Amino acid sequence: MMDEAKQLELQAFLDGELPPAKAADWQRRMDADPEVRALGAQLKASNEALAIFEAETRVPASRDFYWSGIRRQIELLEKASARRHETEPPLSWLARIRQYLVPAGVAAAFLIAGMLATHQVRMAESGHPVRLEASLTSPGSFTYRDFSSGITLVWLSYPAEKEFAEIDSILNIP
Amino acid sequence: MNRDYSSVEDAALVREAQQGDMAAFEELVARHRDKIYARAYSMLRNEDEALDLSQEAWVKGWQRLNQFQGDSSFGTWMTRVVINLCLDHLRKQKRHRSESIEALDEESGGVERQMPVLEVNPTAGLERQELRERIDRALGQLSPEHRTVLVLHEFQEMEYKEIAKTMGCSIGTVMSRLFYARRKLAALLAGWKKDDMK
Repeated sequence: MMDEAKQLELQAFLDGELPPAKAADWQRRMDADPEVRALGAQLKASNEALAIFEAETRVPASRDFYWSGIRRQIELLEKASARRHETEPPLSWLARIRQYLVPAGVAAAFLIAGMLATHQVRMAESGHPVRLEASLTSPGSFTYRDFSSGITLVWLSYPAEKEFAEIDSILNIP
Repeated sequence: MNRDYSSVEDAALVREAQQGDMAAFEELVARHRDKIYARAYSMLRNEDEALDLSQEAWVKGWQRLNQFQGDSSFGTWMTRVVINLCLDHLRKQKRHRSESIEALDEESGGVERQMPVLEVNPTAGLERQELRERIDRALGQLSPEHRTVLVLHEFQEMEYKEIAKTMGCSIGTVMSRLFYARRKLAALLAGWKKDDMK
């Protein structure tokens, strides 16, 4: 009798989960060994049985009754969704500004960072050292240093998300 | 007057339903409802739950209809929706179960592994209705985890690693559950009982 590991390997062969070399080996064993063949047939029988089972299974309700439950649920959800849209208050002026200001601020930060980085490369090539720093903890801030002329420029994206939250809480905006 | 959709193909019905035609969607439900219900019932083996979840699947199907791109057939897409709902339902149920049925089943799986293999087709010689009833009873004796592995493998044609990912277990566990489920199913269908083994 096959041990457990071999039985599972035979199953994997039948399910097409073995690499070709091992699969060929199992095919030879199937052809030669009646015990392997019988177990293989038994494992495959579940597929046939389940196919018959599902084919013979019917919804235990009439077409109209079944559909009416679905339609009622769809209509309820659509009504609720429509009601939400109707009762939603229009956006406040601050919320409207925020909608555009945050993405615009982030885009501007990346644009300036890109310009400064290009400038940094050019200056380095001309023997005029400058450095651009970006902090992981404050992704909205960049620092530009020009060592030869002693200039340090810090660029911050403003207003920051936290500050928006603070403004919202002060103005009592949900 | 209502349009007759009975001769319209699924793909065209889906397009109509995507435009908001609920009558077209109703026709799709009528065509595939038995399959969707049967898939839920195979996993849950409870008529009321399978009925509720299959209806919920259709509601979800309607809501997400615009996500259906036609990469597979509509029926296949809907079976994925109902399978996902059943998996969520079983996960919730499992959290409420006081003891691990799974552990008991893995233990008892050893008995099936050692059963002698008889050269008999367990589905031969039975009327389809009688066979269905036997399979139903046999499925009822498997744990939800074993039934789920069987359904995902045999119907959804998922590979071991996909099933493992879906069920959050190892490939070895999938193989073991599948083997146990198949052998137990075959044994029950052939009318074997554990007492006969003694």
